[in-house]
Amino acid sequence: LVWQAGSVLLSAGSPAQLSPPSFNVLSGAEPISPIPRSLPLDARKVALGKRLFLDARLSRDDSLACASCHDLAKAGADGQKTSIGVSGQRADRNAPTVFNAVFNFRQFWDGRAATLEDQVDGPVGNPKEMASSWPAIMAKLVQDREYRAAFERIYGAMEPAHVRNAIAEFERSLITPGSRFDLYLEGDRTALTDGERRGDQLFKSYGCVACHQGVNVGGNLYQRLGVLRAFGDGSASVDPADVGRMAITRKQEDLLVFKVPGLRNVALTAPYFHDGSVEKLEQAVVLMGQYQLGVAIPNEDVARIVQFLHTLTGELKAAGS
Amino acid sequence: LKATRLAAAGAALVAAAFVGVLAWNAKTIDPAAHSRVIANLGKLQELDSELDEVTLKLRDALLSNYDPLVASLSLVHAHTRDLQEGEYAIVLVGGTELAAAMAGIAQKLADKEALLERFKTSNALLKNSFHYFPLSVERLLSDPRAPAALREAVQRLLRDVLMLRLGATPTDYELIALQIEQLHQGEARQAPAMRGKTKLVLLHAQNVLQHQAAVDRLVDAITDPAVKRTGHSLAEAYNTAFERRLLEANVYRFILLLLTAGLLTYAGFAFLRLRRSTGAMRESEERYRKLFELSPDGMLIFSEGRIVLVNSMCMKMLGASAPEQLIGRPYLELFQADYRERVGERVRHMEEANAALPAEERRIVMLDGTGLDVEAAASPFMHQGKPSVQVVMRDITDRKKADERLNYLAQYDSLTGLPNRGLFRDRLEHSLAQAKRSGRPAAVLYIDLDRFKTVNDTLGHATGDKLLQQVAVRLAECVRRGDTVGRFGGDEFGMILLDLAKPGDAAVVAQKINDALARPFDLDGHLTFVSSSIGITLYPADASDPAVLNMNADAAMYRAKELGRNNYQFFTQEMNERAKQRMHMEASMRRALERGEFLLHYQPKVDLASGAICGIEALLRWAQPEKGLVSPAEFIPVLEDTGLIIPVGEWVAREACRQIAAWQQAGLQAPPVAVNLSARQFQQKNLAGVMRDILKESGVGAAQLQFEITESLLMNDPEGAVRTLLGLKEIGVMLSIDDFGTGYSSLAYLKRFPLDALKIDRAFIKDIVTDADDAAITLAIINLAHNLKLKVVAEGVETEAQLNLLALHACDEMQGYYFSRPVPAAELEAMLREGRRLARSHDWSNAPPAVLLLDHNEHDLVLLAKALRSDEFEVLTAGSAEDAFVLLASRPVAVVVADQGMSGMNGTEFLGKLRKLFPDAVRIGISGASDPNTVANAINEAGVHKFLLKGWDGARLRNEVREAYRQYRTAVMRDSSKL
Repeated sequence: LVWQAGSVLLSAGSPAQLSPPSFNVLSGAEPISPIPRSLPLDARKVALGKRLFLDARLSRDDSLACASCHDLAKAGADGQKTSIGVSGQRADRNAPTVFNAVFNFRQFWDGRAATLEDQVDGPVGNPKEMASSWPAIMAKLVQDREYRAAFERIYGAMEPAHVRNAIAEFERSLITPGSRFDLYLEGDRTALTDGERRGDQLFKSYGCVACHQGVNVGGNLYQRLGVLRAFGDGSASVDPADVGRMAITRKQEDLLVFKVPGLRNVALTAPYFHDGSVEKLEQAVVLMGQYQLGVAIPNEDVARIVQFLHTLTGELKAAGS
Repeated sequence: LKATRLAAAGAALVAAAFVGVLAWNAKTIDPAAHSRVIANLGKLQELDSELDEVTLKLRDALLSNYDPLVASLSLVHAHTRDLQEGEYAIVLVGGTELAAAMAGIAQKLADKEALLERFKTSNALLKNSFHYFPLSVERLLSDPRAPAALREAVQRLLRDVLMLRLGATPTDYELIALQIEQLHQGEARQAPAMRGKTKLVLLHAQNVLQHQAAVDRLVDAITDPAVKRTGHSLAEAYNTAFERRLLEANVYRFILLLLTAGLLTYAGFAFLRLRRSTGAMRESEERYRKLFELSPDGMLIFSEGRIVLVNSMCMKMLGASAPEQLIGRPYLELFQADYRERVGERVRHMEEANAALPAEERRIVMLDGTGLDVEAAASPFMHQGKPSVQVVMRDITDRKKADERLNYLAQYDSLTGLPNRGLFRDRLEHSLAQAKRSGRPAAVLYIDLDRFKTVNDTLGHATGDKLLQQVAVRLAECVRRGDTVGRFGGDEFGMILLDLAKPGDAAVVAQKINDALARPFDLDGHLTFVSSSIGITLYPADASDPAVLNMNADAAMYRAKELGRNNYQFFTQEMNERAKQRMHMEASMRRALERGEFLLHYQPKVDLASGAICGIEALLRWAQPEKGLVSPAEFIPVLEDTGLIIPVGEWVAREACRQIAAWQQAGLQAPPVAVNLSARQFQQKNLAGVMRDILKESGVGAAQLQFEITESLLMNDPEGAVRTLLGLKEIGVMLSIDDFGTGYSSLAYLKRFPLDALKIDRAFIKDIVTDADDAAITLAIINLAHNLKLKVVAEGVETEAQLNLLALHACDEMQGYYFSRPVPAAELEAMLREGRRLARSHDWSNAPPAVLLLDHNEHDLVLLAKALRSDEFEVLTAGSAEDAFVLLASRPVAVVVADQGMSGMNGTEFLGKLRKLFPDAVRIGISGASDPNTVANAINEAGVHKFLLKGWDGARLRNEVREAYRQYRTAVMRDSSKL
């Protein structure tokens, strides 16, 4: 009986019955789904992609590889506020983790790349990052006999599109199944402690889950940063040049609209937010409550939610090895 | 001479251009590209619908994450890319380039994606604001410092904002915006402590307002059917263009080959003439050789049965590296052995008639023995003074392959690789011929999956497709070589079984199929269960004509479905009879309207408070001259199927209006008359206009006419229903939702439908007295309807107990045999004249609660009743559970004392049911024996409050019951004071 579910709202007309409806009243389904154990991939491309991912020849002065800022040993990010490019310049935004990026609906904080392949062009050509170009890169790579042989075998030729595809294929192998929360979702009721379970409930009842849902606990929609309180009026600093999706759509309504980041392995990927302005996870939770929900989440609830967020850490083995 | 040369050159140029045009037009269509276009267009249309569906589910919170949307969109990307990367040499009717049309579709989908992104953002914010807005109001209200005026304003805001969710007009939005604005202005005057709280309330309210409007607008734009129509018409235009193109290509190819053969023959003759007349043999022979050698077609000349000359293309085609490998060999060796005689025959014939052989498809043998498909033309020829034959050959392997592929596409189902309906029909004909020869019976099976639609709806089309593929594999595993499995489309499959030892073997296979499909299917980790309904017909027992066998199998399959699915049915003559009967009925029904065989019966609805007749439902009846009254269950489906329901439905409305007018003229105060609207009528474009005209003609006021529309019909296309209902409402008629509770209603829509009344389906009323679930559902429906300000009518009320229970639960009206069955107009008129009312034996709903005794033993019952007699309460007695429920339905009961050892339903079971239906009543069990199991069961399952043994002492029992009675009263008092 579908209409029974809705009766909560119906009866809410009289203030006497103003008990807060939790989201599960409206929809019984679990909004977060576990990461699959594996994805169908071409192992040869993954291996080739891994080499390229670690290859500094993709940068202008052979000083930086993809892995420099997306360090697989540092949960696929670099722990920096914003990354440092070839000439020692700071990049504009915090480097997001490369783990589980395959589950993001678009790439970059502002979602300007539709696929992992398209994403590769970004850092490679960005003057503040790798500051190179495809002709320059190809000229270097083509001298490597092993590359030539591998590309010939797999793709039949060596072209920038193939380089992008190989890197992307490697990135698709970087998924982190087996987190304790996923085990819990898959039916192992003992995988979480009572406190963590409580944290999960709070994560849902506070409404974090309205945006942070799906397999990546986010990463599948855009959202404005600062819904109930303008972003940047508190401890965090805001770069006036960093306008979010507005830079792409040229619409005022997209000011400070970013891709909602996925929260998988979030405990390992500090600092937080697009500008890396927040050091501690606790602080990020508190600020999210203020900016997005208009609530001051009490300290004990923050602690529980952070406990829950820790259970999203999965198995971070670098694939292809 | 110069002029002649110029003219000749010009002519050659024109000819070359002509040949060029022919060659271009003869280019075969690549079947791979074709099937790619078809598959992509189809898939995109499917995905487009899927996006709409997911969007609606997300809006209604039936889905809790956005991954399905992302997944569908990434498939959309893949298919649009694939579509746009293809090369299409096809121009659509009207001259539009296909590529341009494809780009148009891609653009529409990209626009849709942009809308979807905004939808996700707004939907997420809306969800949260709906959560926090009431909380923020509560926080403000719980602050004792909040002034009364602010409280009142905020409470009003809360109510109005929450109602937005149930559908709103632009005025509603404006009103709320105004309230927010006023509260904003008042904010400055408030104490600082209140300011923050008010501000938060207003922020959340504003968010709800903004994003509810955005979500509504975006959902409308996303689900706009215009996109669907564009895709659909493109697919159609493409198909037309493709078929035309295919035909043209074949014609051109044929002309081209004839032309080549003709030209070369002409060149040959010209060369001979030249040699005779001028003797410039060498030069012209050289010319001919050049022409011969350079021809893009394979050419060879044979003389006296042996090859004398070949060009290099011919060598290439035959796999020879030097002319010597071919020259001197008998030309017949080029053909397969079993072919040679016929070819030789034809060539002799040609030589005798001295006429060319037109182009034909042939299969020749290459030097290494492999076969090659060619198109070849031959003509008589003089070579070195000897009568010879010149052959032009063209390799048509590619074309053959393409044709085969197209053929395949036309005959096989692309999803499962099984024969489609057309090929299945062909195979059936062949199979029957074979069965006829062998003299063994054959069978045709039709197989339909039972739950396929649910799989498609819940798991998506891609998963549905996977299921069909797996089903196809399992079906194929159920048959032997030589049998045929085909797919007719959707979830329908067919099977031909040959060489059956006995007819019963078909049943063995059918059972095998049922079993094979009953095993779970693994669809990407979802274990899914389906079952199948199978119809079987036998050759030659049932029929020998393939068309008849197909019809039989279909009829038998429908019978299997009717019989509750997951079974198989053999075709019987009875099914045939039924089909015939139906045809007969259809034919006589077509004449029924003009012959005036339809009539209306009227069933009164009664107001439960006053007992007076407050409404009438008009019901269609058919008096067939030969048979008398035909059951509506029999003829109404036929009316629906044939579309006759539209004229008949209009007749019903017209006749009802005529009757209303007649009653009015006779000075009767008749209540409004309701007529039912069927699905087809409801989809009629101008329904409201038609009904308005009927009202006008009859001079009856709109308030006198009502329409009843079933729940499932409304929910089938709720958006459309809102529009149609609003159109009807504009005329001024009353509307009710019929058979409520049997379909799936969305509360949001229910609120938006402009309804006046809701009729609870008879299925719930039937067991309302004894079935706790039905009672709970009925009660919930009544509450829901009252919340939505709808009157509630209970259908199918047949007993007093049902009536009492409904009255107890504040149901407004009833309709059913208990008061009156549907009767002819005259009888109803009589009822109205005598002012007949519903007489209720006694209304106990306000009586003080009683004590109920239940014992199957009459003697014990009397004794018990005596023992319990008291001034405090009345003692009711029942000899059976049924009687007890009837009593319980009609009046409040505080304590129930039940004997455990009853016939029919045992005491524990009775008390258990009682606990669900009337949780407040105190339950006491008594038993003659002290069997510990009975006691334990009574306590655990029925939750009895006390358990007593028979052989009791009267005073103690009285005390126990009195105690229980007081307990009940105190509890009820406490509850009511809380209210």
